[in-house]
Amino acid sequence: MRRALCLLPVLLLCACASQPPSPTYYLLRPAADLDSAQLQPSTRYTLGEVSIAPYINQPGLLLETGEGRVRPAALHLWAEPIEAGIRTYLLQEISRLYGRDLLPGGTGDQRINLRIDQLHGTLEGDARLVAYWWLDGDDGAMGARRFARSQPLAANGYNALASAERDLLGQLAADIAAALQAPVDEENAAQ
Amino acid sequence: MAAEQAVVKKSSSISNVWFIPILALLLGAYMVLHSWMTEGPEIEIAFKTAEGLEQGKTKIKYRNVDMGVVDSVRLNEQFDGVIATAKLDRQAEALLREDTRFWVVTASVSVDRITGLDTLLSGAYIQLAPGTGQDGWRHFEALEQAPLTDTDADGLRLHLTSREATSITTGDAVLYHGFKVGRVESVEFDANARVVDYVIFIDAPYHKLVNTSVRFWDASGISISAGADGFQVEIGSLDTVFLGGVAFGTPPGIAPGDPVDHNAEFRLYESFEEIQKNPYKFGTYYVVSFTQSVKGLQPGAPVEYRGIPIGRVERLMLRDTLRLQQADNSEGTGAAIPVLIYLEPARLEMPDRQSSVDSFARGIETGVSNGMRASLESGSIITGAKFVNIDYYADAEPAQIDTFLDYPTIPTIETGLGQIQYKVETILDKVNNLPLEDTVTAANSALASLDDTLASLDHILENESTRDLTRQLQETLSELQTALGGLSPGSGIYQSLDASLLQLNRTLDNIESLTGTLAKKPNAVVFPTTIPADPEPEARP
Repeated sequence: MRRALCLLPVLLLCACASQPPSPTYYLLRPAADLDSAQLQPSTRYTLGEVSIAPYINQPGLLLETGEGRVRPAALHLWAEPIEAGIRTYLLQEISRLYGRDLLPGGTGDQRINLRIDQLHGTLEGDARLVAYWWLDGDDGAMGARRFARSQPLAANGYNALASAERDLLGQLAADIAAALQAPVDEENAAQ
Repeated sequence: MAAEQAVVKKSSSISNVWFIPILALLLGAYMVLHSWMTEGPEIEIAFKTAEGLEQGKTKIKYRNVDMGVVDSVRLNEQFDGVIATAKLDRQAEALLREDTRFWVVTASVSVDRITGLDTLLSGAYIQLAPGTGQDGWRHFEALEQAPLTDTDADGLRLHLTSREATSITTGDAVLYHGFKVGRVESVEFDANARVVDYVIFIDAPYHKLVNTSVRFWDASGISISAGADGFQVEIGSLDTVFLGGVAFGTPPGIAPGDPVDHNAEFRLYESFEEIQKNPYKFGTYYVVSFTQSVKGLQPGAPVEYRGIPIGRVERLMLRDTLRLQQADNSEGTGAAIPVLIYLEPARLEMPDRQSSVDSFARGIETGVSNGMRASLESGSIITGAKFVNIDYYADAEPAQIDTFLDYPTIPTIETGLGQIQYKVETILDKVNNLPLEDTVTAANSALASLDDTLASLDHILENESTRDLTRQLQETLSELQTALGGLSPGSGIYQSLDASLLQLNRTLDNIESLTGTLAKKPNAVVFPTTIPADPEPEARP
């Protein structure tokens, strides 16, 4: 009995000695070169509400494991809350592609609103992004637009998945920037 | 040789000669019997005059078949008429009944028809119209003129009575919706009842149109009326324009009544307008007595039940009252003025028959015990016309139906001006009883207190510190604005708060992860947890 009691702390200490695997964090930021040139703020547009489906709103990257089943990764996590990450990414990318800064709280009277419906890796080896976006304040002339694309992974692993999802968000930003009125018109309108 | 002896034979007792008288006797007997068997009855018919009658020549006919010949014509014992004796055929025996009628048929030309043209050549004859009464009659009184309707004709014979003589005469048409369905048979003035009695006959099958609900009116001539909508001219058929006539029909809104029998009596109205004024047949009289002024109450004024006309005022019974007062020496006591009213239950959509009147009377009796009263109301302020209104009054004093000169009476209640006066008095009494003095004193006290309060308020407002209050308030608001500015999205506090929230979110995520792990492996706090490897995303081959 006494021998057993002596063994217990040893066992506990052994348990604490084991090293848990450390998670990998991924950041959503534009891959483009950092441009120190300052963009002029847009007088027409501003980025409004960016909402994401609740299942995406969690720390781990999501991978489809079967029909209608996804699994958040336990060791491959977003470096920041995904909602903030997507918003920052899109704001920067749309601003860069459009040529004007869509600062939040800017003077633009048309708000670009987004809803991300799906963002995860698929069984087929793709990353999938389904999103809707629309403009507030254009009297509904444009209507809501749907973006649904898949991007094949360049390699195995979560790094490739995060990279593919970033590319998809970049394509979404490009689509939105292309649909907006050119900044030249904006200037003409201002004049 | 023996001599032949004569044989004596006994001759037959009866000679053949007798055969002849016996044959004659038998023939005679046969003739007597035949004559007795074929001989018809001998009758006597009384006429006013013997115009058209000739002995041995004037025939008696029934349906154009000769029934006999007038044997003799003689004056009666009073010399105010003639009696014709006629021998009829045996087969006429059955036609001679109590109500069998005879009249002389001669050629006759009138406005509406020409009859008996054949008698111009053949001479007048006596027409027989068999009756249905007791048989065996031999003495008859002839009609002065041919009846307009055959005795055995199918139809309905009715009596119409009218207080006024009209232009309707015998032979006039009876019309239903302008179509001739019968005729007036006779017009007589009944001196006792002081009414004109018209006997009309309505041919089958139109007699089925007659029931207790129909009304008859004089449809003679042309009717011209002027009203708010202009002049209105009504002309009946050409017959009625020249000759007059009787029309009948059911007034609008009245249900068909029961079938009527022969000789039923109806009133003959002067015109259809008169029927429209009084379309109902059955009604009942009541007396209502008023102690207030009945000025403006005219015969014919409406009697209403809660605004629905249910009858009319017949007359003021002043003469009857006076007579009663004289009888019991109660003159000069200011008795109430009785008013005779006529109520018609059919106006309340009850069937127009006697049973409705009875049930209506029972209803009035119950109603009176429950507060039903008659009152005199003003119908028009401008003309001052009044009418009798019947209604229920919850606060009416108990009363019951009485009688006045055999008419039932409905108790009355004073309304209108009298009622208003009573109400005004009640209100004034209540106002008088109000504790006005106490109220005014209390109000004065309250006003004095209010004055004090306002003076105190003035004092407070004039105080320096109170005036400074506004400035202080402005300063405070300005400071508050500055403080809130520090919390704007660009401020340091905001960013710090945002970072804290982010941290909190992350901590919560970790806690969620921890609780998930503990749920799966409760000893994970102590023992090392092997985190299952994440499935590896695989690129397309």
